[in-house]
Amino acid sequence: MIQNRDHRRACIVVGILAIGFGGSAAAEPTPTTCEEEPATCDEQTPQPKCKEECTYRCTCKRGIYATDYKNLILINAGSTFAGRVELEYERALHDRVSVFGAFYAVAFDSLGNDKLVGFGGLGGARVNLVGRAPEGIWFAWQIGGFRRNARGSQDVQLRGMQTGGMFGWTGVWKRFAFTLGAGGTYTCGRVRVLQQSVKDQEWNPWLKLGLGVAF
Amino acid sequence: MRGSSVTSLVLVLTLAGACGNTPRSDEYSPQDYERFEGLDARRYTLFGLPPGNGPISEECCMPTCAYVEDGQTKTWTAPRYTNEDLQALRDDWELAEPWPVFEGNEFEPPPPEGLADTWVCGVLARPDLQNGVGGAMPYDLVSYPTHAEAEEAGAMITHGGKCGACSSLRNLAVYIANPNLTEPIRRCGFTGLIDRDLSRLVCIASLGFDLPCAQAWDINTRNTQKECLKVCGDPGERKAPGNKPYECSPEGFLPNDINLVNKCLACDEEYSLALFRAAAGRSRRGSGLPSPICRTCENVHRIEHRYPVPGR
Repeated sequence: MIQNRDHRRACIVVGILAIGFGGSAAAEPTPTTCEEEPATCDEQTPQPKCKEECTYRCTCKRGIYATDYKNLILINAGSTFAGRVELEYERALHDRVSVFGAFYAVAFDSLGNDKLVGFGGLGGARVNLVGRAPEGIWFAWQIGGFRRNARGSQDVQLRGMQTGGMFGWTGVWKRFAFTLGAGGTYTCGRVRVLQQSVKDQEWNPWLKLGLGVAF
Repeated sequence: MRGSSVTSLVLVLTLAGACGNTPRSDEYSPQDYERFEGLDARRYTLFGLPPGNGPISEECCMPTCAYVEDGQTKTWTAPRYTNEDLQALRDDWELAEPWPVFEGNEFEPPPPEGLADTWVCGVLARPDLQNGVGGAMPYDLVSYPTHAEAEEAGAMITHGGKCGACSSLRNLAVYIANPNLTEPIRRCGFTGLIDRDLSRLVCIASLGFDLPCAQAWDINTRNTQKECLKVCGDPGERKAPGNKPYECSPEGFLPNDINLVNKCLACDEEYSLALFRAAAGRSRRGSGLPSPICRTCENVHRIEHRYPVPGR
């Protein structure tokens, strides 16, 4: 019974989100009760335990995004061109909502004797417009902070925060995950050199090309 | 069950070149000067440190200028500076009052009088002030209308033109250590994907500049990108030599012969140079420092950058 209640609550949450975010979600039936959560969505066991009212959760069996996976680990390959290694973990909380967190390190040659090194972290949520999280077409919002230092002849620091939104698509083939996204980000930061500092802010495009695994 | 089949993951990322340790092509090297020993500078008037495989040979462009003094033709060769010299510029002197940072991302228009050639920027020691870090001597940067007035005031001239954001001796050390600053600063423009402007400023500052000078170069880079995006976006133009091939002759050169053939550089000079010079103050020619692009000697200030600390 507890399990049933929990799942009903989950279904209601998903339903609210689906209605709230529109798109294909709004057209799908909102489940009201579910006695038992479907164990899997693979084709060998088509809807063995699924009740009629739980069709929402079972649509994945016949959908494009027929994944069983809830978790993704991705490397943002796009960032590596600038010497930035970004590792991201994403977990689907519900069919249409996932959260993610990323950590990145920067270690590029600044072309002098110095090296710029830094790190940053960001987190956010994705809402699926099409498909079942973490796959499909999504919109993401993120917020994060970062810090960089130049090692070498003098002390150069950059600290800042950024936030932004992005539309993208994630696909999983077997266990390999692939994601593409584009959006914008607002960054504000302070650069400090020796005893002087200056603040600046900027809008920039935010592109994502992620490769990784699903599990 | 969904999510239950977690397997071990091995993610291997190869960052080709990102952590490379290749030597810098623009690094200051005393050997750069040895190529010019024994050549007769009086016949030629281009000043620079042309690349060994560039379009202009050492015979046509060298870090030496001919000039006339007391009716006699003399030559002046840009001094060589050692790493100890550069360290002394950083450690022995400290600007008493740091140059103010730029509050916006644009230069103020230059003053109406423009960049009069007679103005010079002088280093004026301030022994009356408390010594800086490590016993560094405090100094002021003061603009003087003429060379004579600067000497009369007891200042050591550090460059031609009025003082600016890059006039400090710390920044001078960066200019000397990097004969070709254009290239590393241009490459700084490629750093940072989602914090591009801030990263570029940090990258430029990491070359050794103080913040106002790094900002001046950063704003100059922004202006160039804005005004010259098309020509500077062309890889062929970016890699084109600064000067066109030039055959020197005993009769000397024709001024038109040194027109810049690199359209990106020419665009930069047309749209950004005047504003940048007014803001930065220090220029390579105004400091008597040769660069890979050969220039006429007329604007080269013959300055030897030795700044003895008073009382030591």
